[in-house]
Amino acid sequence: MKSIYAFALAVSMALLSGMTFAQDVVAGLDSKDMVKCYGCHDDKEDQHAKGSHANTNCATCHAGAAEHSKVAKAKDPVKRPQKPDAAACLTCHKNDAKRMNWKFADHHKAGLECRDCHGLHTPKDIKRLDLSLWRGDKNTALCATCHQDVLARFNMKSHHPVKEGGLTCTSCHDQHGGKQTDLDTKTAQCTQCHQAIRGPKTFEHPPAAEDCSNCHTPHGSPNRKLLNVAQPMLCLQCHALPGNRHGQTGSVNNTQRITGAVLRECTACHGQVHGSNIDQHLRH
Amino acid sequence: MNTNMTLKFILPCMTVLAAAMSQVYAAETTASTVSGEITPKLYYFNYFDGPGADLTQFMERYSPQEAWSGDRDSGFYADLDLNLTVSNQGRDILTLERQGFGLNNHRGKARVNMENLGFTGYYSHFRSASGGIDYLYNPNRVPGGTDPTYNVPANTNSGYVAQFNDDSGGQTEYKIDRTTYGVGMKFKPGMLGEGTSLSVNYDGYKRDGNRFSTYVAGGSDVTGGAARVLQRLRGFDQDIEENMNKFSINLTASPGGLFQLSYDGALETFDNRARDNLMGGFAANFGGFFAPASANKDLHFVPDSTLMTHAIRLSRTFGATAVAAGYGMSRLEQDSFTVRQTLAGYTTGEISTDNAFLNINHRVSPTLGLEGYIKYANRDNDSTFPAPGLISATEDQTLDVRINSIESFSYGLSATMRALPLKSTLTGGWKREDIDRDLAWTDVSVERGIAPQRSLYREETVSDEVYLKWIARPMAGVTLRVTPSYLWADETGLVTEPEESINLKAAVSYAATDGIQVSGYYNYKHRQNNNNTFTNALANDGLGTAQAQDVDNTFHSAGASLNLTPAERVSASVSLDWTQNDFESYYFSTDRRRYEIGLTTTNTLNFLIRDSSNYKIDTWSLSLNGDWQASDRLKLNAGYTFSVSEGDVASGLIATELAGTIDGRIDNTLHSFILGADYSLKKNTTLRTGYIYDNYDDAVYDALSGGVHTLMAGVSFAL
Repeated sequence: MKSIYAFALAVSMALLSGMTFAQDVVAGLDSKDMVKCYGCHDDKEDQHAKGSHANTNCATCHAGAAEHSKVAKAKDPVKRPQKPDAAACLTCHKNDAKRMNWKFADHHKAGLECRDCHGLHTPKDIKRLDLSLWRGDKNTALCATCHQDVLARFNMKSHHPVKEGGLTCTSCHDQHGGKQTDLDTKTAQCTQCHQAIRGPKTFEHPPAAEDCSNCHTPHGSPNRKLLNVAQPMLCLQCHALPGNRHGQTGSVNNTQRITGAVLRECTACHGQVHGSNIDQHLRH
Repeated sequence: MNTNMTLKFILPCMTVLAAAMSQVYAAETTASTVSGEITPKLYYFNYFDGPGADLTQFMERYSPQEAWSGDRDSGFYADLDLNLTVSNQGRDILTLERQGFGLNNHRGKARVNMENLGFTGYYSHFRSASGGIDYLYNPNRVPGGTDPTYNVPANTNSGYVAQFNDDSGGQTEYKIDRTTYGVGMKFKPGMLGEGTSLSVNYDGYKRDGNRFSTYVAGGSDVTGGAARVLQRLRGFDQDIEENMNKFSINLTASPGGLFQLSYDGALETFDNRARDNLMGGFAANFGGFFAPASANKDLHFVPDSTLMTHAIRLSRTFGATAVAAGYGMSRLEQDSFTVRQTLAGYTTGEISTDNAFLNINHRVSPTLGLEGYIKYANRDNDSTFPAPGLISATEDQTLDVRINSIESFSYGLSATMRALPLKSTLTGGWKREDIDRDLAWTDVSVERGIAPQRSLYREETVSDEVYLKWIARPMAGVTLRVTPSYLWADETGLVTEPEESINLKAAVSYAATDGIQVSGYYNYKHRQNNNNTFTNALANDGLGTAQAQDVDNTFHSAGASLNLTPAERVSASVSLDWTQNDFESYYFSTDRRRYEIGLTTTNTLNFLIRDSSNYKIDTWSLSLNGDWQASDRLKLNAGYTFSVSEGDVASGLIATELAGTIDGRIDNTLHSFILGADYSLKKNTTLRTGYIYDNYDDAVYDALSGGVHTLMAGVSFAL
C-alpha cells in the first residue's frame, strides 16, 4: 500500500511541477479561408464535401497553409503545407479518453500517424483484396494491411473467428493505447468475453490466474484450443507425472510405462484446467 | 434469438435509436442527403465428407451455415446487407449498417451523430461449434483414447484410463450461440461545455448452447468392487446459458484547461443460468459403484459474479513535456457457490486488483526525446481461507498453493533520436519487471500437502530487458523497421517466463508510385529457462538431487507480400508466410503424488527425468488474390488461400507412446477458393455473385476431413 501512496505522490508532483511550462505546442495554428484553397486544389473539394471535416478550415490541419497561399510558386516543396500529423489531429480530438494517451501508444511508437489508418477527408476506403476476409469486419481488413504475420495466423486450424466475423481486431486491441498506459490485469483482456473462466476460483491454476498467454496464443495456432504448444508438452513443462496415478500399473514407482491414453490429452481428466471450486486436482 | 431477448434488449435499443432519429430530423433542419446500398442475398451451401450428418463438420466449427429448413448439411438461406448514411452539410447524422451471413452469423450497428448528442447501438449474433470438434476428440472416438493395458481389476489407482463413460445421452451436436448487444449515448462538449463529454453505455451478451465436458471422478467417488475404477473417466453434455450485463460511464473533461481528465466506471454482472451438473445426477450411470457421499459435487461449476471497475486517467502536455498518469481498480465478487463450498463455510470469493501508471515524455530537442514510465499492478485474493472441509489437510481436498497476492512493478527508460542518417529514428531503451507473489503453501511438517520445493512455481520474478527500435525511410516509399531486444531474468516465477530471451522483429516495405507494394518481415524469438528446480530441501523425502526443468523455445516467422496493378483495370496480390515453433523441455515423472509426502508420513518422493521431448511444427500459408474490371459493367475477383501445418508434437519416449493415437502428429491442410462477379445491371443496381470452396484435409485424423461449397447471389440497390 505504501507503494500506491508513493506512486500518487509522484503523479501529483509531476502534474504540479509542470504548471509553469509553456502551453501545448500545437496550439495557435493559423486559419485560412478554405474557399481560397479550393481555388487551386479543386480536386480536394469533393473529398471535403461531407463528414466531420467538411467545415474545417484547411489550415487547422495543414500547418503552413497560410504561408503557402502567399507563395507564387505553390509547387515549391519547401513551402508546401504539411500533411496533418497526430499533433494536428489531437488539437481537436484530445477530448477523447481513447486518444488522450496517444503519445505513449504502441502505434505512435511505431511511427504511425492518424492518417495511416483514418481517412482525413472522408472515411478511408478499405480495399478487401484478401478475399478470405469476406465475412470479416472492415476494421480487420484495415489492420491486416500491415499485420501480415498476424493475418497468417488466422489461417491456422485453431484461431479466434476474426476472419469469420465473430469478432474484430479491436474487440481485443486498443489501437490508440499501449502497454504502458493500460489499467487492466493480464487476464482482463480475455475475460471480458470469457467470463465463465474468470472465477473467482477456490483452487486456482497459477499460470491461468496470472496470464492467459502462459498457455494460449490468441490469434491462431496449429494446436487445438489456441494452445502455444500441444498437450502433453505444454503441461509437462511444469508438471511431473506421478506413477501411482498415471502409470500403467498404478504402482508407486517413477519408471513405469505411461501410455498415449494418458499423454494425449491431460485436460480429458483435468477438465477444470482454468481452476476449480471444489477439486484441488482441477478435475471437476 | 429468443423472444425474451428481443423484448428485453433489441426493442429498447431500436426505440432509443428511433427516438434519436426523430430528434435528428427535428434538430438538423439543413438539407440532408441519403446514400448507401441495400443488398438482399440468397445463399446455397453443401457440406461434403466429414464425420457424418449427426456430428460436427470441421468447417462448421466457426460460423456454421444452416438452411431455412434447419438442415445443416445443405440448403438455401437468405440474408440482407445494408449500408445507409444520412448526411447534412456538417456531418453524417445517421448511419445504419448490417452484414448478414445467415441465421448463425449476422451483425449490425447504428449511429446517430447530432451536434450535441450522439447515440450508438449494435448487435451481433455468432455461432461456433468448436465443442463439436472437441466431442470428436473424446476418448471413445479416437484410436488410443482409452487403454485396456491399464490392468483392471488389479490396478485400482490408474485403471480409469481403461474405459471412458459417455453420459451425454446420445447427444452428438455441440454448439454455442453468442449474441452481443449494446447501446450508448454521448453528451458532447456543446452540451456540457468546452472540453467535457460524457458517455453512458450498456453492453451485454447472451451465450447459449452446450459443450461436451470430460472429467475424472475421484477415487472416493466410487465404491464397491475393483471394477469401480472403470467408472471414473466420464463425459457429459454440459448446458451453457450465460448472461452478461454491463453498465458503464465515461467522463472526459479538461478542468480549467490544466489537464485532460478521464474517468471510466463500470458495473458488470455475469449470470450463469445453466442447470447445475451434480455428480449425483449421473449416479445411475455408475453401474452401482457410485458413492452417495459425492452426490453433491458440482461438475464444472461456473459461478455468478459481479465485477466493478473504476479507472481515472490524467494527461497534460507542458511545452515539450507530456505526462500521463492513471489509476484503476477492480473488484470481482462471486455471487453463487457450490454445495460443497457452502457446506465448508466458503462464503466469500473475491479478487481485487489495483493498477497504476505514470509516463513522462520530454522532447529535449527536435532530434532527441526521452521517456520514462512506471507501472504498478496488484492482485489480492480476498476469498475465504482457510475453509475447513474444503481447503483442509484432513479432508478430501488439501491445499496445493494459494495465491494470496501478486504485486508487480515495471519501469523503464528510453531515448529516441530522430533525423538520423537514412531518415531514420532510433529508440533505445531498458525496462525492468519485478513481480512479488505472496503464496500460501502447506506446512508439511504438520499436515499433508505440497511443499514449495515440490513445485516449479516461485515467489519472485525479476527481469531486465534492453531493446532497440530502428525505423528508417531511406528513400521514397521504403520503410525499414528493425527491433531487437534481449531479456535476462535473475528469478522466474513460472517456467513459462524466460530466464533469457532474444527477440528480433524486422520488416521492410516498398510502395511505388505506380501502385506496386512489396513487403517482407522476419520475426525471431528464442526463450529458455532452466532457472526453476525441484529441490532437495526437505528431510526424509528420498529426493536424491535437485532436478531443474530446462525449457527451450525458438519461434520463427517470415513472410513476403506483393501487391501490384499489372494493367489499368487489374489488381493482384500474393503473400507467403511461414512460422515454426520449436519447443523442448524435460519430461519428469515421480513415484507418487507430490502432496502425499511430508514429515508426517514416511512416504518418499523421487523426481526422475524420463526424457527430453521436442515439439516442432511448421506452418505455411499462401494467399493469392486479384480483381479485374473486365468492362464498365463487369468486375471479376478471385482468391485462393492455402495453409498447411505439419510436425510432431513430441519426440522420444512420448512420441513412441502417442504413435498409437491421433495426437502425436499435426498434418493438416486448409484450402479456400473464392470466385466473385459483380455486374452492373443499371445505374443503381448491381448483381453480385460468388462461389466459395473451403476444404480441410487432416492426414492424421481423417474423419475430420471435409469441406463446403457455398454459392451466393445478391442484388445491390444504391440509394
